Amino acid sequence: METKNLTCIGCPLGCQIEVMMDESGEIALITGNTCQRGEKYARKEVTSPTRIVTSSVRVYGSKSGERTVPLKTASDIPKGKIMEVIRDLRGVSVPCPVHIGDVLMKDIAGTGVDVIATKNVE
Amino acid sequence: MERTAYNLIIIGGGPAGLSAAVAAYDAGERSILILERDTRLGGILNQCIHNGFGLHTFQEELTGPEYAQRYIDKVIERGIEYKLDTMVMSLIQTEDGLKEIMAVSEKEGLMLLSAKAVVLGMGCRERSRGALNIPGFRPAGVFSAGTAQRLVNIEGYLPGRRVVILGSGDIGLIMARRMTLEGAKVLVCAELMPYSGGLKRNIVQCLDDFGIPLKLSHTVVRIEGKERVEGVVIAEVGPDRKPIPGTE
Ligand code: SF4
Repeated sequence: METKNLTCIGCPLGCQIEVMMDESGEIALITGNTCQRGEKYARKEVTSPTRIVTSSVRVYGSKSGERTVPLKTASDIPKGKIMEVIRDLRGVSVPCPVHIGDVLMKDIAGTGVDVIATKNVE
Repeated sequence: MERTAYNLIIIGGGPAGLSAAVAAYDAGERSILILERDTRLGGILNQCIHNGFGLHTFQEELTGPEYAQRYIDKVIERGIEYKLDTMVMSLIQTEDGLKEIMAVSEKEGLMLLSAKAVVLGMGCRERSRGALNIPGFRPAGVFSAGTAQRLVNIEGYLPGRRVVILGSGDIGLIMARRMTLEGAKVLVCAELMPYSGGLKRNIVQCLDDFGIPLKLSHTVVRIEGKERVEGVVIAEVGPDRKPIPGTE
């Protein structure tokens, strides 16, 4: 039996979760989480950890004089791909207006996930 | 000077001010004015572009600007009046029992307002370097975490390429990740206390994910450089939080 200790990032409580793995590497027992999200997180974190990536890129033509628009991956992406996502965003500049939820880049870094704006910039 | 009268004036158009305005409106108040010194509503949330907001209020995970927009929409839907780019200069109690506010904006110039009630929603301020008593010259390149956050996320500048973070509060941790993503090398995050003041989830996803070391019971004892910061000296502190000589 192998045990892995994790800190859940699902909410500010940050529960300490213990995941027990049996000989074949299957999850045998998850303890320490206070809610369902924690269990889901623990399963993913020991098999294929993921994160939502947030960043920002430049805009041009903003009437309100904004220079950047914040963005996020529309859903979580493999943790190992974070830097690739960031690399693909480098040098990107988008025209205004931009609205929350607008797709700024499709299928970023081959993850199948789009990058969407998280702020309205007129 | 003529006073413009409102029942309720809210100073600050950030999360506190916006939700106060919405709550007052929904309780029946119609004479409301929000005064905001920045050029946009939303306050500090505009620069908090990371996710994790709104779990309790909206049962979803939003970024700061998305969370702010929910409240901005509520204010606009209700037709609540607000003035941007408007700085409050004074707030006094007048003899007629009202509160009098003097404010100024580039567009409207000086204005005199009166209110039956005032809500202060101006947020908090960071402790500056001066307040922390770190000796040395005053070189460029030393920022509070919140200032660095504004520079990166709103102005679009990276404040430095080799970074040391003093303090492990949530904004310090979040900026460790943010500046790493923007191409900076974050060497270390030093924390005076024997524990971090930040959330555990931020230690995991902002430091551990990127291999950034957290040095507990450590602080900056000296900042090197005269015009531009060249380095810092970090030392371990004892239980009395004073640097231990010889650990620099
Ligand atoms: S297990 Fe649930 S309660 Fe605990 S940190 Fe994760 S999301 Fe929050």
